[in-house]
Amino acid sequence: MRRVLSKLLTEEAIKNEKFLVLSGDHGYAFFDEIRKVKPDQFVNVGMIEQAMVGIASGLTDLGFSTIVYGLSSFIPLRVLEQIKLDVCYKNLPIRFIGDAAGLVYSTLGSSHQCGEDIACLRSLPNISIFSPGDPEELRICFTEMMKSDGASYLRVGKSDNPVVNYSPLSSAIPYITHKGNRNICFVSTGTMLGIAHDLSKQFNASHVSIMKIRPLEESLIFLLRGFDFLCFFEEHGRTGGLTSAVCELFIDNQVPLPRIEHFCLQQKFAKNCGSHQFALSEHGISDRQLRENLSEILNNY
Amino acid sequence: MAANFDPKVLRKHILHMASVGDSVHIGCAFSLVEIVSVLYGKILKYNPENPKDPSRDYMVLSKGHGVMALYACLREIGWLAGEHFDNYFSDGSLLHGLGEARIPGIEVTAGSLGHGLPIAVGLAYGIKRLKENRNVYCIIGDGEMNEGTIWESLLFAGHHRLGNLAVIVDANGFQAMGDVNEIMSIEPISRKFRSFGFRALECDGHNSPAIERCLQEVGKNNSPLAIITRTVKGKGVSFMENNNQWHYLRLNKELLEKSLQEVANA
Repeated sequence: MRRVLSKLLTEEAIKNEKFLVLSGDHGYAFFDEIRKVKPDQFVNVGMIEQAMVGIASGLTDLGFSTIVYGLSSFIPLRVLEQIKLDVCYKNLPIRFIGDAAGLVYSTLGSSHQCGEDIACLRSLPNISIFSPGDPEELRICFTEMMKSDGASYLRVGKSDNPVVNYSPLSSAIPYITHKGNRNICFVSTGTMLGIAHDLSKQFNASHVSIMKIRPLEESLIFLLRGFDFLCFFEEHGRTGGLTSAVCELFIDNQVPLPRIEHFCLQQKFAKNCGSHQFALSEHGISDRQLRENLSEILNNY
Repeated sequence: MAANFDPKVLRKHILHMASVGDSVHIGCAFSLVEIVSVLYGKILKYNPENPKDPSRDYMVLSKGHGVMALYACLREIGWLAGEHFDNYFSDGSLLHGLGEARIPGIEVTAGSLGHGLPIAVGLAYGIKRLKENRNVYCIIGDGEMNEGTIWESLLFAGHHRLGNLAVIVDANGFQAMGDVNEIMSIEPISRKFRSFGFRALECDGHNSPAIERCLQEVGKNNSPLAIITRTVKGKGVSFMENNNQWHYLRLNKELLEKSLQEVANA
């Protein structure tokens, strides 16, 4: 996924000389291509994340098309107030990329892990949120983000997840990756795309992928309202993420909520070090735990 | 009517709105009256018909607590109507007590301190990239220099040699809860700026010709310019001057009359 994103950034830089990518000294080899092809359009501002958002605000005011890149622990978490006042208040079309969202940096520990970004941004006015799960979802999210005339956030998680989409998507609206025979629907975002799709086939459930969390497509309600049981999968905290967003959509539309299971990060810091799957297991959502838990829940359902 | 940026006129507007709105932050606004007076009267390129004119210089008030001084200038230009001063802080009124970017002529939402300078630096950097002949003037407070984003921005401005940027420090020696140097030592301000790659000048922040001379230096070389204006918090009204309670105190009728008289006789 990161290779695709790197290519998309470079293509955009070639198309538009006022397109700038700002990084707070993060990204390493990720920016090799744009630095090679359009070196003037990549600006490593240094480790000044808060000021970087203000700088982007000034640049955007002058007509530059600005990407603000960082790890999701910093962009948006560390700079939330700057996003609120310097960007959302002015409704500026600044695109934020929060890389390594969730528990990608399982071996680095809590400072580089982030399960709060969607919740934080959902509480601010004037910002869209994209959370793609495979290269094709990333491509369509990036395309829509670049077309948007307001602020947006692209959440990029673990990059080597299973690919689900082998043909182009036409938009970032929620879509069915698998249609099962049972009256159960799995709903996932971001890095959970591959495992949720896989599990839906195993348990003969349907699966809906939601890559644009905000604004949430109103028609989603028609996609989901017929199911008796919804299982949500997200590598994000319990509060304020995909599940909250969908439940709020049901509430706003006065539609009764069906039975819900929520597989997500718990509100706690990493205890021990280990692989990504190990880190997920501390929250009960490693691939193995999901399979076991779903077997228990759904075999008796 | 032609805009009149006479400090007396601006202070009168401030007293009027502070009294109508029962507003705090009078001392914060009074310390930068001569600075904005010179900026709008002598220095800034702007189009009175269009606050968003794409060829304008940028005036960024990072020290949002002094916004009443800025409102007074915007009223003189005609971007704000007198009614907004007459109904300050009333229900449904336009103006808040800290700067907000939706107001014509206000470039940044400030008051949460340390926000304006990074944006000003972004503007100066962008203008330099575009090779346009425009300057960016940013007013910060000496108390505001506690904020980490100020130093992040100074690093960036110095590194990128933003010669089109002037950072004007309203150095009145006070912040919200007391004396700047008791709460967080900031001196020597000029030396700090120089060590970040700025040219640094100092002047009496209530001496308009001196302020103007300093501001004329912007863009004369590739270094960003810092102007440390030594100011008096509450300048213009004897009982407010250097009395930090006037960060928070409000006017009553008697104090308003006395203040207006002092300002008129200054």
